[in-house]
Amino acid sequence: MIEIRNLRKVFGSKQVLNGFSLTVQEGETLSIIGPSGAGKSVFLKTVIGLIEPDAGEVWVDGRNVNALPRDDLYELRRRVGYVFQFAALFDSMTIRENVAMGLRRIKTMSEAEIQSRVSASLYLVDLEGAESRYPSELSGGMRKRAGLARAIATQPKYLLYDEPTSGLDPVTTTTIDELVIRMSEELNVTAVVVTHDMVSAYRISDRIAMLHDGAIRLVGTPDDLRATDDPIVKGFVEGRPELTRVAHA
Amino acid sequence: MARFQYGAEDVGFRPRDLLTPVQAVGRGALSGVASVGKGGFLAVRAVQTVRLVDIWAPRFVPMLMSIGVASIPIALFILTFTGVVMAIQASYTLTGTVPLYFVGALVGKTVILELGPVLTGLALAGRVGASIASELGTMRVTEQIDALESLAYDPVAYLVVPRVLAGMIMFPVITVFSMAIGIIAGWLTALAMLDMTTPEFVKGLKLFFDNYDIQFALIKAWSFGLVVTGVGCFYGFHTVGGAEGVGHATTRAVVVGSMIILVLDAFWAATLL
Repeated sequence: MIEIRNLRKVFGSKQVLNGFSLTVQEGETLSIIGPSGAGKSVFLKTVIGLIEPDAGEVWVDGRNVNALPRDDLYELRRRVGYVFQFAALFDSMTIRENVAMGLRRIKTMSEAEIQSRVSASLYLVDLEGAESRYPSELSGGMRKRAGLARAIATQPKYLLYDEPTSGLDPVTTTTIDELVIRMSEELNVTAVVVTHDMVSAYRISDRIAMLHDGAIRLVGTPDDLRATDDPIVKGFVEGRPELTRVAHA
Repeated sequence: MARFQYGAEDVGFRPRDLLTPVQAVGRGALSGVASVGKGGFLAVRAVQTVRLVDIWAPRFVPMLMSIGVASIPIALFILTFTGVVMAIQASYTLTGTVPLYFVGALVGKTVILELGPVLTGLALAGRVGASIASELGTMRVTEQIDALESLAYDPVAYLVVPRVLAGMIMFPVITVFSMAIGIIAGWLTALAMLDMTTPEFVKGLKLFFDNYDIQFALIKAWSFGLVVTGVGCFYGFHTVGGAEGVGHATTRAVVVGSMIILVLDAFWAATLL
């Protein structure tokens, strides 16, 4: 279980997170929605300690991430797969080498086991045949899938997706959404998906939380979200800025 | 003095404008202190992560090749022509005052004590420092360093340690080659253009030669290797922004690396000679 308690983070004069609290239950897929620059990615990075909050706590499997010694933090990161917004593939390595990177940190795995796991991961994301290509030779959608293959290769308990469908065409978006659902069903992972794509959020989520002004405005099932009267949430979900403006007035 | 703002009325001089230069100095000072702090933190982290041999060791040999072996041609090129010029200038300066074999002494002493290590260091500050800063800077702005962390790699152990260790080992090696080629170029120039014989040149070379000079040159080269790779890693690691940020980091790595080399050069001369 991931538990976020009263998280605060300031960059310069901008208060990005301001009392952000949330619980992610085991096995669920929870999407965090909110406008660009709302702090969704910042929140996601605090979960694995890539960004340290100014205040508040992040608990993963009963351990406070920010209080973990460095070695324990790396141990925790092995149980969490992170899919970056722009894939963040290592551009000097082939796709096979990229996917193998996380596995090489597992000292008990032989080279044969690593290669077998890499092939299985690439098969899961439909990227067989692209093993020896470099990231610059792949399309945006393929890069996202390669990033996903790298994240799932270590068979993590948690998967964190940072805008997995941003910048993709509708067909590729659906493909990625299906992959997210498949990962949850076949690998039984707990997933947190940061997105501002409502179609995707409705399609993949068990629950959806909206981030607004640095805190959670609403959290509920997709049906709860559709039924809400909250003008801020409704304005964002339905793409109606006039509702948001009225709420702020 | 009038102040003009696009789309606004001329607001004229305001007393608070007097504070602008003071604020700029203050910001510069704060930024300098912050950089020293961040640099110290990175250095401590690098020392702490040397124990993570399984992370940096596979990257070490490739770094020896890219930082060291690939840098040899540029260093040899520079010292070849430095040796030629040194021999001609020594002959020009010494002719008619002291025996010509002093050309060998002057070439040997200056190449070993000063020009070999310093010119090699400055050349590599451009080649190696810029390369490290741009590579790490690009990795930073494209989240590849975050990706390393998410895959349970300590990025300091993976990126910084092998580069700095390779620099500390390879800079002295390259400097030895540079010094040798500088002296050989000076010797060949003396033979071809100055009517000197090989025994004369060697006699001059041996005249003031001291083994300590080599140790002195190697200590300098070692410290330059540490500085150039360390500064490159520092600016690359702390790159912010996109392509422009990478450009700034690269420029700063070369400029600051070169400046520290010259300061260190004076420091070693004052403390070791």
